[in-house]
Amino acid sequence: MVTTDTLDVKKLHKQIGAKWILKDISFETATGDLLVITGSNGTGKTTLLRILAGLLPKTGGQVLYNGAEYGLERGAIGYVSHKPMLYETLSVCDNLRFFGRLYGINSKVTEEELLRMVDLWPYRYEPVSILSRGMQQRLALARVLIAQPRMILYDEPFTSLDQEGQGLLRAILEENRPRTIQLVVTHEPGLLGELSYTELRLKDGQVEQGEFHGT
Amino acid sequence: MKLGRWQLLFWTLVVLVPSNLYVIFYYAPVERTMGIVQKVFYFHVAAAWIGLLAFCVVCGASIAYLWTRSDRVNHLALASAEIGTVFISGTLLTGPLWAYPIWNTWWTWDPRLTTTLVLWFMYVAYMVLQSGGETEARKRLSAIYGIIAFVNVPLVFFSARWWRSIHPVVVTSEGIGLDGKMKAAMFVSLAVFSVLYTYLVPLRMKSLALRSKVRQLKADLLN
Amino acid sequence: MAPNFWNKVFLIFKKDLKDEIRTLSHLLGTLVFGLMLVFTFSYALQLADLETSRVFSAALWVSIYFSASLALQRAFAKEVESGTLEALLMGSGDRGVLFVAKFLYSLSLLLIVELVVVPLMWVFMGVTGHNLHLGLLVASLFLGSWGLAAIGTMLNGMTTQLPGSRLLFPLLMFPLLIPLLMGAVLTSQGAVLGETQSVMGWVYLLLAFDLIFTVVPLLLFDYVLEG
Repeated sequence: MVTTDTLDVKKLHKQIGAKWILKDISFETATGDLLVITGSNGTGKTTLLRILAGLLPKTGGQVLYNGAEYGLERGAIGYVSHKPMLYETLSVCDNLRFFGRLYGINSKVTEEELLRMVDLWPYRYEPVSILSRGMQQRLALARVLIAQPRMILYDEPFTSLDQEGQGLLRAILEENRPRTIQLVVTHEPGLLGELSYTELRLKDGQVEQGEFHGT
Repeated sequence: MKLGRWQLLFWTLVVLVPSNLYVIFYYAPVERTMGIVQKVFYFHVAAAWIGLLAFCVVCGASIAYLWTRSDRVNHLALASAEIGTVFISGTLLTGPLWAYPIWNTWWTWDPRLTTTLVLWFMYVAYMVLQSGGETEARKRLSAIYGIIAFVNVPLVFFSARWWRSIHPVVVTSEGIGLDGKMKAAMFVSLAVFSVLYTYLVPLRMKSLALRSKVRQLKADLLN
Repeated sequence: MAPNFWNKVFLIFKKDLKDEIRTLSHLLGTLVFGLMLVFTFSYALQLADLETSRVFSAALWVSIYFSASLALQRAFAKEVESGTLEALLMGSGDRGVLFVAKFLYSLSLLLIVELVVVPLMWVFMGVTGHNLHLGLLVASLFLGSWGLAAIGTMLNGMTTQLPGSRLLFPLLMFPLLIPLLMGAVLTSQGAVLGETQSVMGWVYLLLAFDLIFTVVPLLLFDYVLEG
């Protein structure tokens, strides 16, 4: 049976120094949905994701996961940053294996499946430093997916992906929909193509508009 | 009223400081063998006391900062460190003034001297850490350093004491028998310096608060 | 099965060693720097015509200290450079895991450097170790390195978050290490001269120092890597 998880953000505030980065942000999302956060640069999109990931403390408000404040342990949250966050000297395989084991996943089969999915299987013994940015970004996706997170936060995931990579990402987003809460920060929602999603538009740290796209 | 308290403290000091000087130079007798040089002792000890007290305040305020994240507490820690440094520097400067004529050397690795010098190093390191912008990380990390530096003080003192017991030095600061009037003068000095400290710290806190306000206003202007 | 505290520590430690072996540049750089210090001290002190077995320990620890201020600057800095610190933070859950893993990594680096530097210093300075107590010398090196690594790991975790960290790191580290360096110098000297009894107090001081500066950073590390 597929369980439905919910993320409920209530009146979230973030202040850095005297400056309000986020003001009174409230929204809800759940597995099955795809929440896309848009807005121009400097509107607090990344800050919002980092707060949800537990990488940044919030100033006020609530982040409720299944009704409990920060009710999701960190290990169950995946974070795809616009930086790939990989070890350049280690091989593709070593990188994936290291992060997998950190989450208690120790299966060669899973590793192979994931590497084949992101099209990096032929390069598995190469050090990450020789991969192109797009390839690194695909490995970053695999790094997050191997932990089987219950919530995935994507920060500008389309950046540096080519046409093919973008198609792959869309497929991943669709595939994870039934079992994972997914939030995508992007300034190009057009790249989501045919996917149905809920858009949350931020402006100056506040929710400007929330609307549903798709079928 | 706030201003009233300030003025009260200020005028108290205007009376206290000259009386302290009077007590030191006229009330307390001139030491028989050391002569007038011994007068520096009253400043020296009082300044060292403030240096140590200020360090305790830095540690206490640092713990409080990690707890509350209040800028006021951070300013208290920083103000205390700055003023503590001034006094500790005073101790380190007045020490040799007395030591040279009496011990015939400017410096000796006595445990108290060593500890004071290390304390000064830690104060300076703390202030370097605090300097350069009031970011959240800087304030938090300074607080952590304030705590570990304090934890280090007893270790420094004991190791310096043992170090000396293995390499004995010829002259020691032991056995400065104080007569009653001298003792009284010393305690008066301690008290007056403490009042001075309690006056200076809030004063500096006020200016630090103003500084961060100016910084914020500037930042707002640019945004 | 979720990995426990020590599984994760071991994983991260192993990853760091692998990374170190792949590049070697950092380790080799530190080693060469250590050798240069050994050369400088041995050469300069030879002119002073001192009794080498008495100066050996002090010169050795100054060399170790300077090498350490290079060696210990990697633990967290390299995670920040590759942008992996956040991934590690999310994966390890407990920040204590990170501290312990990075501490073990730093300690191993130091011990490897010492393995080369100490014998060479011994040879270059021409120490006559008739009364050498090897066990005590090894113990003093180990206990001294432990404290260095613990404080270095903590401070590296702190300074990498700030601009100008390369200057800040040695500045913050030096005053904290003074008791440790005193203890290490005297214990090593006691070992070289065979005066084991008189330095036992220092061994306890080193133990106390190591204990305090392992526990306190562990307690405070949640605040060091906040967020």
